[in-house]
Amino acid sequence: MSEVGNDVIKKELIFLQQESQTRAAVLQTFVEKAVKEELITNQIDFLRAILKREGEVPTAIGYQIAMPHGKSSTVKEPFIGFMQTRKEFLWTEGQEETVRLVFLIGVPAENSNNLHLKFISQLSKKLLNAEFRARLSNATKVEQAYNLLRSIKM
Amino acid sequence: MKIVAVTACPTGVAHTYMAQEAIEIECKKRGYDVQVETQGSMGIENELAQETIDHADAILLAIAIGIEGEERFDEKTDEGKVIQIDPSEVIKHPVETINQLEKI
Repeated sequence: MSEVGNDVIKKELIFLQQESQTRAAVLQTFVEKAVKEELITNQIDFLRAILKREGEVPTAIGYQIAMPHGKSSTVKEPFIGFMQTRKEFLWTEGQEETVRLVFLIGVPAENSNNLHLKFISQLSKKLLNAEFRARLSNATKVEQAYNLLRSIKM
Repeated sequence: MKIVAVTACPTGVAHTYMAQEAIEIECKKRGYDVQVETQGSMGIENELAQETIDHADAILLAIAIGIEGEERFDEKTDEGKVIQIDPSEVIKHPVETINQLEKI
């Protein structure tokens, strides 16, 4: 296990077998928890940053994965949350991509910890691995998903 | 075949590196030489030297933002050896993207 993984992956922000079927509902669950866990200070600013990025290019990248991310001064340290929904759903109205695995990435507006960013980039790469995706899709316990995500090698 | 690429996305934390991985995996599968420069939140990594670019058979710019050193590719662009797409395209469709590069 890498220590950086422990810093970046937030167990409290892992949600499995969720019933959410819209992007708005998924993001709402994430941001409310992120405020509660003191990862961000202002959920409206954070949500705005995420939606601005989605507006540029939606972050559904195929493989039933979306990676919404918000770069904002309301974020203290880079972090990742993960949600697995029970059923796939349309990520962006008017587009065809459906998703089941959602990774929420928060990064501070100013220069942040490079090790954390490196970890996020390594995790992103790992998502192209079919076996890794299958294990995340099939995880039924938070602990399982948590261990998978923080086991990423730097 | 020698392929070089640059990847860059607006936030520079995820897509830049996923696109890099997608390109590398597909090129290695085909036994191609490949070097992918990333311009993301960690700065420029794996930077492409002009000489490397000059010797490439095909160039992929998987970029959603303006990049540093774009002029390095001017000559290859004039030769019609450069394809520019959004990073998400190569993440979703690596096979088709590299097929396209083979044809130029």
